Amino acid sequence: MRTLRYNLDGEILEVEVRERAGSPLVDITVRRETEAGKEEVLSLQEARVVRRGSLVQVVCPGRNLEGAVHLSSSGEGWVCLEGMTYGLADADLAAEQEGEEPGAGPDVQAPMPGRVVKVLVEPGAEVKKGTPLLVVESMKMETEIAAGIDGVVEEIRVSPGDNVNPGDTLIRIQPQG
Amino acid sequence: MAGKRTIRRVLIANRGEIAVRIARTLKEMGIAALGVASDPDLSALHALVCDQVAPLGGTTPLETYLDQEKILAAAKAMGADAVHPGYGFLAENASFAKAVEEAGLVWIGPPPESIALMGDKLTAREAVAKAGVPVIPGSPALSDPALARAEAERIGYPVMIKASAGGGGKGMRVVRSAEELEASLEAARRESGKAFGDDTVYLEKFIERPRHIEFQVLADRDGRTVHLFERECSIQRRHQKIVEETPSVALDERLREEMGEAAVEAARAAGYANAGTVEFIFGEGGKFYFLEMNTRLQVEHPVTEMTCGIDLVRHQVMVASGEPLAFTQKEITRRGHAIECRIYAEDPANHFFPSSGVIRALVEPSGPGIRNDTGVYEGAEVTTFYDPMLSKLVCFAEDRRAAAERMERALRSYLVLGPSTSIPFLADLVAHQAFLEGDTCTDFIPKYMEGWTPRADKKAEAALLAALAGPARAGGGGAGAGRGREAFDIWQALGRKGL
Repeated sequence: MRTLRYNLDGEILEVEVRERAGSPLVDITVRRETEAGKEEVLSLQEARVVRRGSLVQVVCPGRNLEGAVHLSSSGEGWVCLEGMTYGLADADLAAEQEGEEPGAGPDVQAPMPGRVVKVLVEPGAEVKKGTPLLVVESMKMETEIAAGIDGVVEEIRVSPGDNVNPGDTLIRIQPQG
Repeated sequence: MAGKRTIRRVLIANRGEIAVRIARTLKEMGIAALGVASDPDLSALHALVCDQVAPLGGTTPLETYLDQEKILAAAKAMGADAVHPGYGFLAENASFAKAVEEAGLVWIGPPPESIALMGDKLTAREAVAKAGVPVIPGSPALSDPALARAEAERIGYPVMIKASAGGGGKGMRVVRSAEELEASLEAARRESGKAFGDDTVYLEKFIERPRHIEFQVLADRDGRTVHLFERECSIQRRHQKIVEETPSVALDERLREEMGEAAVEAARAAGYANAGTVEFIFGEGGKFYFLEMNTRLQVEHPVTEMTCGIDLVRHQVMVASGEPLAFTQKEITRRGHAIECRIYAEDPANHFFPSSGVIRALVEPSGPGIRNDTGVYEGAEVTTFYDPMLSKLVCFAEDRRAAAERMERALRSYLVLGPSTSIPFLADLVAHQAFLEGDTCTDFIPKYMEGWTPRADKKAEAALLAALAGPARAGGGGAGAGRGREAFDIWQALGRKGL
């Protein structure tokens, strides 16, 4: 499962994507965050996602959806559907970017919810910025997580099979020099 | 009269969708399409589809597509034997047409004398009135306020002040009473002087709730002249057409025939050859008056092509080379209904401000009866140097209702990411009850679309699609290259898993 939060013209929308075991289909829920709490505004079950270039199509029993999507590396994006374009910003990334550059510190954190598949380094190993440290599975895909700085592996806080949440510290690196 | 000239290589003195559209027909005719491009346009679509392109150097229209010497030099350098001007830029410039002919090239357009005659609204009106074509009651050119008052009384209020050299609505003002006249006259002269370098204005009877109905004409160099029926272009924003269609719901067969004949007479009065458009103001009660003649291929020509089954550019080239018209009036028939929407890079939710930028994603509508004359592609940049029209979406169907429904469907499936576009506005417009009922007068936008906001709120759907397009927070732990979501494509990975 993973959760993303977007800011669309001041409206905060949370999108929860849940994978189904042994199936390529996902369930998706969109909630609007208000002062009173969260209110579900859209829910799709057993959705199949097809991506063709920048076109994203969602096919599911209840309804189909399609739109063109462009995301920039700065956390902004545009979605065009039914002829209308919506600008959005990643609500969490915007908050995070106010702080430190992500991934550049001694703490190696989980970028998304998932399960640790493999740990690729031992404590005391020398690593460079970009050295793969571990593999995390999320949304039925495996992602390598790499060191953000040069240094020595100081502590490994997770083992294969552990579930992790975004922001959890997985490994600590003692910066070099 | 006219000797036959062979046309093998045509310089297209234009850019954008019209240059692309002309190049396509030229290629079909086995004629080389020679393009010109400003610096920002070197990789624009029109530069890519032409067989050969000459860079013009420079950016602004004045130093590129309006620079007659550069265009003629490009024509010479590429061995052109003819020039097609498209619309806008130099298309209605009589001196350019003359320069092209003097350079020994074929001008794919009307004779320079016709352009000059019809380019001035006052001489145009005189010429067609002499030929018996109804014109709007109006005044001669005026500057004296006392004379203006007398003329306005004679014509009867409301009257419209117009710039003699005008176009595009600049210098135009409606005056409803004698008290308003003097101030409006001054303002109109100032505006017209600034816009056209000529502050000559005149008065015209103002027609309440008019429609704009124009007739396509085509003439060969021996004076054989036909019309290809009407187009209604009443839906305008700030005097610029945005939706055009044919046939017009306002005409019956008798009126259509009468207006068609008047259009042909107007063209003959101008000594016309090639394709042109005679514009009429159509008032309540079936009265029509000559407005002006556009001495070029018109932006909205595709709706005529769709319903008549005739490629106007092909016939422009044929008659320019001295061939006789390929059909008589009787042989021109049409069927069905066609609607065109002009797709502009502008923000309809924010005062229609022009919009620019790279087109990040582009999904064009398709299906039966759909034609999208476009000048852009995915990855192309829309600059602010030129007209912000991205494409002309044309839908053809068996009747008006079906064409409108097809247009709405096509617009809602037309995805442009990057610059804002008028697409959502147009989709709501063609789905509007008043449009479907045919209440398409020139006041349509203020009357029915004022204060428009996007009808559908699909924010939740937009957020959902964004979430599925890629991971929002891949950068957090330094995945892949360490940071940046563009280094990390969840769907590429999912694709490997056979999702």
